[in-house]
Amino acid sequence: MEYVLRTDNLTKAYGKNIVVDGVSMHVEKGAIYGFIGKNGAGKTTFMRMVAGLAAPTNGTMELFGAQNLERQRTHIGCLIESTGIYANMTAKENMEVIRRQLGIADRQSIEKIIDFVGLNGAGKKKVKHFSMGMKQRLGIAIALFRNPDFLILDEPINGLDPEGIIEIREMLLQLNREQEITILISSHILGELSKIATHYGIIREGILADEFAADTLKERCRRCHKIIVDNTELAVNILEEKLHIVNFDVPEQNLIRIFEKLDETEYTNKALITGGVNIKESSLAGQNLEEYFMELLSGKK
Amino acid sequence: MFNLLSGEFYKLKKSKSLLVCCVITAVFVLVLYGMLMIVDKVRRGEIENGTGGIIYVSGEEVDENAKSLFDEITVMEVLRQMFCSFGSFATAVFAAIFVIGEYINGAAKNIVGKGYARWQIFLAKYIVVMASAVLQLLVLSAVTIICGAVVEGTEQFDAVFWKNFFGYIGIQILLGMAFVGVVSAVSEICRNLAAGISIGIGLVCFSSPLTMGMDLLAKLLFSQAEWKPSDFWLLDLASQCPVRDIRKGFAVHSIIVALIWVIFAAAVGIVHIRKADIK
Repeated sequence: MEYVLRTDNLTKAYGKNIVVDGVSMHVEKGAIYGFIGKNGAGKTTFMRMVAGLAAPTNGTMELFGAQNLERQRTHIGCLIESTGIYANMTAKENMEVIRRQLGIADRQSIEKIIDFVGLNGAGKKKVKHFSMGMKQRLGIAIALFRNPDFLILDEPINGLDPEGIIEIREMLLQLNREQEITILISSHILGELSKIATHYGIIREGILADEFAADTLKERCRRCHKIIVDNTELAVNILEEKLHIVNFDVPEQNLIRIFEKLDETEYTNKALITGGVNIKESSLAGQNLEEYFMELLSGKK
Repeated sequence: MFNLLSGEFYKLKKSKSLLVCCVITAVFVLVLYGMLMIVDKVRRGEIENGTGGIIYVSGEEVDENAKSLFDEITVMEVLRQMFCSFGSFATAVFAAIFVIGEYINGAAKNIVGKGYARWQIFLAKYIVVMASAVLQLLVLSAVTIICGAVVEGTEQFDAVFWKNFFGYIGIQILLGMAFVGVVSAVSEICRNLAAGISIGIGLVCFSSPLTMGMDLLAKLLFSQAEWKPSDFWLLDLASQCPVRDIRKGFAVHSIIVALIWVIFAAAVGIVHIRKADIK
């Protein structure tokens, strides 16, 4: 497994206030890693440490499998919190500053990147007159300028209208698919994140509570009829032979999850009881994404 | 490093703040000369009040044959006045805006962690801020000379004048560069525009009275010492600098003090940027 980012017990404290507490994150190459947490959970601080804007108090970090972070960070593009742009300059002038600072010889690269993010219509308009969406695009353009292999985006769709959100989403998917750019993205808009993320990390009060792939999330959120029985073998036999139920699993002893006939739970329970199985608990389980995340964020899971 | 300097100079070129500071500096020179002209004319009763009477200063006699004020106040005197007051003020304000602006608008994040050492990033900005001070002070000098030529005539501009002029502005520009270096270091540490500008203005207005107090203290504590604290403060040296016949000893001392402050301020700024988080 090749990781673009791997942190081990990464911690950031401001005095006695521990903002990021022992985060060990793993971002696979080619992934779109959705980083989710409440306001003040430590997402931005963590991202700033990865981008080299803040020094960790403790812990280690590897970028692209190496620990010489200064060199590796030349392969990173980031948009963290506010877009770092000069309000009295045009989009091209802002890009020209970056081009000179990064030593990019090709002047045409500005036109290409401006075109890619959809700002070629901005012309001589100064950034102070840009809409929020245009500013975000410019921020992304700056982050993409040196063709990074790893993009760190901190709430890039905040404040955008629905059309803007869709355009940014399409852009990120295109970057991930066509240029194989790994993306670490944080957002509060869970629905949007769920449309693009391949992996998730949940941070709660500075601690990485959970890390899982999108497939696992789907699995965890599947609605099912959850039954706790005293005799699993007998119950399984009844489900298969009598009720012809095949879509179920036994994740642990005495626990059966049935994924079909969810509107016939009464009948299922009756058949099990009649067959000699004692049912200790029977309920409909599973959530939509938002409910699942809210439980994770609040610590109920 | 060259790339960083290129970027910083580009930003300077596009900076409206620099243009505004230069224009305001020029305007203040014009205003100063304007005021002097009015005072001169009032002393000689040359300004009428529109009803046939003349404007004069109460308690003073009007003397039509009085010497022109500009016989006493030469171009060099005006230059000294501007360098030691508004010149420092304008350069300090611009330095604070240019350095702190990077942190306020978040642009510092675009370059930190992109393969450059943090000290290089600070040093590039430091050098460009000092270059901006040179530009502003040259504008001040040029406008003063032009106004002086218009108001007082060009007779005074002989070889001796130019020797004194270039010697004087050379030392003032060097001290001015070192002063903006100090303001840059302070701005790098505080990263707050109101604080940076206030501290810059505070240094211009209050550092000299402070060094006067330190001089008294030093005299009490070290009565045998030949030096005093104000000998090592940039703005005091700027105000002490004679407008003509500058002694070699004074010039060398000023250059050394300026260099020490340039290095010290750069070191302070570099130490800070290496440790502080970029927000």
